[in-house]
Amino acid sequence: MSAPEKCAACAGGLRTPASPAERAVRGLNGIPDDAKFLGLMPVHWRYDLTARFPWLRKVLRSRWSAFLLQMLGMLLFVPALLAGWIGSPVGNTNLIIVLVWIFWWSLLMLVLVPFASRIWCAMCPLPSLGEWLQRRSFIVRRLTAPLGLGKKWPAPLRNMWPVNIIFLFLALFSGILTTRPWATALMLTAIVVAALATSVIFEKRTFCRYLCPVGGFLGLYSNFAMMEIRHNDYATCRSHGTKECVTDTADAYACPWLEAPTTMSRNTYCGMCFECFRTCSMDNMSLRLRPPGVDLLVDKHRGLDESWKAFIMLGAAAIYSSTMMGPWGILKAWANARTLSGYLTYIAILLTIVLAVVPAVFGGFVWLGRKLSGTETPFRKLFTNLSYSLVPMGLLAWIAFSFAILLPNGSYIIRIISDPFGWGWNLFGTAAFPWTPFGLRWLPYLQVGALLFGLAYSLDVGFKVARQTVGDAKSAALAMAPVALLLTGVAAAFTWLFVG
Amino acid sequence: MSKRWLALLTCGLITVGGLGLLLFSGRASAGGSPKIVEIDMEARQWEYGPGIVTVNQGDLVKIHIMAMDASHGFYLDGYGINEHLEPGKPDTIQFVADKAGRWMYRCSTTCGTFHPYMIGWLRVRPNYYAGAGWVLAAGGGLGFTGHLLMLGVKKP
Amino acid sequence: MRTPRQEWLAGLCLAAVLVGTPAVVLAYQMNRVSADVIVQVDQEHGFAPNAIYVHPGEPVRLQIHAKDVVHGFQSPKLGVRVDEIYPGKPALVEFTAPRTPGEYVFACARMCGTHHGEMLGKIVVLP
Repeated sequence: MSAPEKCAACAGGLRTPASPAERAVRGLNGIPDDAKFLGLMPVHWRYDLTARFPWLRKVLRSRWSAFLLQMLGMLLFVPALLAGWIGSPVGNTNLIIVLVWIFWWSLLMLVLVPFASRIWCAMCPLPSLGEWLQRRSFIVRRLTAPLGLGKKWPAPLRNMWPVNIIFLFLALFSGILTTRPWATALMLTAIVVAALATSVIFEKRTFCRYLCPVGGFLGLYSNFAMMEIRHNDYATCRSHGTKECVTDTADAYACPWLEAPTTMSRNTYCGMCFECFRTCSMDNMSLRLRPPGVDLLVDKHRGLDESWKAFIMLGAAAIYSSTMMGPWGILKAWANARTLSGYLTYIAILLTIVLAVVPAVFGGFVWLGRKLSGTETPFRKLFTNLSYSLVPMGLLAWIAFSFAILLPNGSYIIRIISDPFGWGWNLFGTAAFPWTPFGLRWLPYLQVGALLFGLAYSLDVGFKVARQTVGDAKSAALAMAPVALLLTGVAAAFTWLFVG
Repeated sequence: MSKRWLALLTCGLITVGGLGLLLFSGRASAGGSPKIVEIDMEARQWEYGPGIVTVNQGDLVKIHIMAMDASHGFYLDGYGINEHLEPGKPDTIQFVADKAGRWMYRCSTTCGTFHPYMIGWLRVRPNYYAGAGWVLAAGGGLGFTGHLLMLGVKKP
Repeated sequence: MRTPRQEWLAGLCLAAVLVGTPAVVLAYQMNRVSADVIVQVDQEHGFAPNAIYVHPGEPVRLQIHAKDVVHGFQSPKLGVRVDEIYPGKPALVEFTAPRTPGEYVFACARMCGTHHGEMLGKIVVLP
């Protein structure tokens, strides 16, 4: 067991909990100090970017950085929305479709979520108007009372269930949304209005935390991300009475996402706005790299709402792959709402699979494992905790899916920058750039590789969580065995769907 | 500790055996003399009929294709073949299926809302990609499951 | 309370994006010669592109370059005709796209060689 790294200037190294209190705060009970992911990457390894690059800390502490990131998002969003409303009705000639469903979606799944957690939330322009209105300012901290009613979100809804429902509602229209510019424009406009309304009634970023349609999977899958914002030194936080990060001060705001940075142990609800960097008088926040999957081992705040999010995302990956990349015309006709009965059939199948079939099958295997091991752990707890092992498999299946969207259709991006509205413009001389699929020869390698990596990681995370939940290694192994079998089956099924 | 090595060995044996079988079966099926495969295909909004075509590596494939309702296209992933199809005009796409694996054929002429999802599957056997995926998943996953079971029944 | 200068700056940024972007887009669209297309023509390939897509009623400008010999350009349905286009001296053809969607054929207007009869193209007015 290695001693905790004390030197603040050392950027990389092991960050093992220094005290039982810190271990409890980080929710790492039952995780040995020398635990490694896949037997290779130490769970406690961190590389502190803000210690290594002092200029980065300076940038993040600046009040301008949040605003400029949002303006970057706004710069993409305004023309896209304009294109959606008044541009060409043909999907692949309209900026909104190409930007949102090819560029943004691929960027999110292939780069931002796995590598940089919820960094998208830092530049998302959709809630900006509401936040500026609440604060009555764009940048500076105003001492006036926040605008709006500032109500607290109702306690029974402080979970992922609202988001699960909203995401599923939009998922029913995925075929329409991804092919009709007006539909995507309508959705984005509705989100802006809803975010604005929410910020008038409720406090801070209530919308982002509890209502944003993509917030659920961004939150859950960010647990796998290779980046995190955490306090630098727990002892400093503990002895520091003021805790600016949870109460507004004269210079900065408390965490807009309603987190407590001193004890935050998972990425789920961290929108990476960096306000904690700005408010902390001890300069005790850090932005760090880490091995993927750390937060899946955190034995805090776990719940069935997040389990169902994992089921929904895994089921949706399979259904979307079948509908959008399968050879079955009937599925496409249903999803495209050509007939009402077909569309209702599609909705019924989608909802049944993600809400009932996937959880029931998973539950069956967990039940078997529990019987096999004879553990006293309640079924519900075992079911909830083990469901986090579906996160790597699910994210990597989405990555395999996103490769199959980006490689064939990425060339639309080159064309669309010259003619964003489908009006026959040619801004950069690339308007006639033909549809050019790219690298499809290598797609099977990418997809199979992604699925195998997902399987390996899911098995590893599952066994670690099982040991943490059940206690002794023998029972944990037996409890996990059927789930391991199920995960293998899931990987094999996705392999068939993508390349079989 | 020896149990652990046993598990690793099982895992390795499944993988190596599977990969060997895969290669062997690939050789065996590729050993047959290449045939000419003729397929009649219809392209319509937004599907191909048939949606799944299976051939063997080395076969000469002739797809007699016609767009039934609107202008469509036929692009074959991995092969880079691209053909524009005018409605009602028969066309023949001819190629040697030299690249094994499963490849998607997809519409390359914007043909309506679901154009990007107008896709069919061409299976060129032996499918090494899927085979390797399954063998490695089975070797890793079943091996790990076996490892867990052995850990569980180990005497204290 | 006085508004600090950086707030004004930020507000200006936002206004530029929120109002400026649509304004620039619409101004550009309205003042543009909509379909500004360069057409190359030679005996071997004919017109390239040989299909030009335009929107109903928009102003169209074709810049036609003859690559090998003297060619011409005519489209009776659109009421456009250029008898001679010399290599190295591009001809400008301007017209307003018809309101009715459909295909409007154009052809070479001068006996330019054995392939003269095959040198065809079309203006497609989109719905």
